[in-house]
Amino acid sequence: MTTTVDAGVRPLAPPPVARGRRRDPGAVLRRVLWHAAMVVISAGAIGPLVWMVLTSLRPQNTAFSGPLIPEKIQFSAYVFAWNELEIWRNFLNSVLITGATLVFTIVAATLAGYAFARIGFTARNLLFFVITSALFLPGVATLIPVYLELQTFGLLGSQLGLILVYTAGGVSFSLFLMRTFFEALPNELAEAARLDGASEVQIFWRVMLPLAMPGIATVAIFQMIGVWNELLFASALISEPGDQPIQPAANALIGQYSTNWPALTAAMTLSALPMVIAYVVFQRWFVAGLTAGAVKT
Amino acid sequence: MASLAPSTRTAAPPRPGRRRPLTGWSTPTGLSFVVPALAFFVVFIAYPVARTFYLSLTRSDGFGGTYFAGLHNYGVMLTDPTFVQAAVVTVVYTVVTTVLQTGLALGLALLVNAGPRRSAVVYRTLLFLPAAISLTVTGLLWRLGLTPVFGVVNRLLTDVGLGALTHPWLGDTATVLPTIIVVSLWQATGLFMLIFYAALGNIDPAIAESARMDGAGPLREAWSITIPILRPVIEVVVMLNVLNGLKVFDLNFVMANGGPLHASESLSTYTYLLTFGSSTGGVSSFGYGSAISVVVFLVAGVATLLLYRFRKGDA
Repeated sequence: MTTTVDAGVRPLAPPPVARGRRRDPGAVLRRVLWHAAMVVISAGAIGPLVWMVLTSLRPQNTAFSGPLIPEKIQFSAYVFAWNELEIWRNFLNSVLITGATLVFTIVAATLAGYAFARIGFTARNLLFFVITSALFLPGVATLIPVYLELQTFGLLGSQLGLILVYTAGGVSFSLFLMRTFFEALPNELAEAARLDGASEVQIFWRVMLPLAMPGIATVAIFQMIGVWNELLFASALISEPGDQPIQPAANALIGQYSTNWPALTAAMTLSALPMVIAYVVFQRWFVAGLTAGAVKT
Repeated sequence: MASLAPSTRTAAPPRPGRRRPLTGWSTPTGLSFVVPALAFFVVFIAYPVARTFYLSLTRSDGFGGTYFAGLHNYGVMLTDPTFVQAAVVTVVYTVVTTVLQTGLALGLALLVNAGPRRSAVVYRTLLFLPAAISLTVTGLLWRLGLTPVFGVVNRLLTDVGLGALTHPWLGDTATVLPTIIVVSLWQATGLFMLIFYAALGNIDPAIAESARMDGAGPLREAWSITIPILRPVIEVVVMLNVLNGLKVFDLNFVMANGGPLHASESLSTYTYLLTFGSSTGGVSSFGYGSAISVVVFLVAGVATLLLYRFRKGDA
């Protein structure tokens, strides 16, 4: 992909040819049809999510038979799920687990990414190959030994255990991305700083690291969505309901409250909301990461 | 995105090995920078993988210990109808989702990209939203929606006069897997669409412009210009889908718990059932579960190598 035009900066004014075409009635019709198609497809994508939110806002006795748009909006299901079902515990667990994993992953991946991109050292290529070979690894291949290992360490059922496992699971992809970002930084900046008498530590900390912030943001958003949404290891490694993160907790609710749809959908909405917001806010870093990860490999 | 432009714009950087060191630092510092990542990798990835191989050769003695049993677990596998079923489910799921997900996502990206950019970004965001939702919530949401009598899917079918088509989608061994596949398409297509859309933004508009000058229509342009340029990205998306498919767990677990009658049991849900599930009668089958994990590991490894060689071979 040796292309020239970045996705974000297209020429502002359309070329004259395109402007002339805009008045062509065929083009107008095409534009209308395009919007119609996009509206229908988008409705298919978000319709089920709208249904989930609407169900969480309706009185329980209308969940099965009332009109799709509730006549009366109420937030009592959220209060019930948050306080009575103690979803707040699982929500906070997820915040803690995700936050700690992010910190560990970013530190480990930034250091290693910098080394793999910019420091010449023995066995560099071998180590890079070995660590990134985990990218293809299916999670289930390590599940049972990781369970036994945490049992040995006394970390089974603890959030620290899950944090360590998640960090290991995300570090290969993260350092791969960080290496890509560090490699793309122009070397002239480091050279100039070196001529000004900056030490290697200062070059890394003051020059390269600030420039790599977009890369760190990308690593953060990927790891955040991955960890917040993980189910297999969360279910297997933490069994105490109050200690679980929010995904297995939401899944466990359906057994007990299978008919209380407003409470269930309220819990589901609460567990989905942070990542929806995160994605909408950080989507440009997300797209940048997809480009770096998928287009360049 | 301007500040990221270098990473997406530069020609392929030289391989790390052939590049001269860019800092005054050398081996001791370089290695120490890698140590934290390496430690996580060794303790929670490399060692567990090795131990999975070892555990797959052991059996439980029933008193909390294990003994070496050679290839016994692999022999059991061949005559275990549930394993065979789970293998078939996993392969069918992988092949079908890979084909549909890649094709749909590419078509959708081309469609989104064909419109004005401002609107395209809005639709792109909406189409991606399901992929920001966890598979757990996705599974729960559709499980409620597909409930036989009160579920919104069957209610909508009845409302539009298609009451004859209502069905216990997740309760029938014939429809449970296709239903899960459709739900997975709903959830994940937006992600792969976004990958293709990002790549489309990197194509030089001059190329398409010159094709149009030569009289190529939109379909011709997509087939002869865009898709060949996107080929490396298509290959990455196929690889991601294959790897995701081989380890599929969440939807099958949340929507149907691998049932009914193991009709949606994947290799991962079966391993989970054998190891942590309650229906194994108390004795966890760590050995047998590990053997199945080894199979998933090997199949994923071989698939990765094959796809990688395929890419190299055509480059």
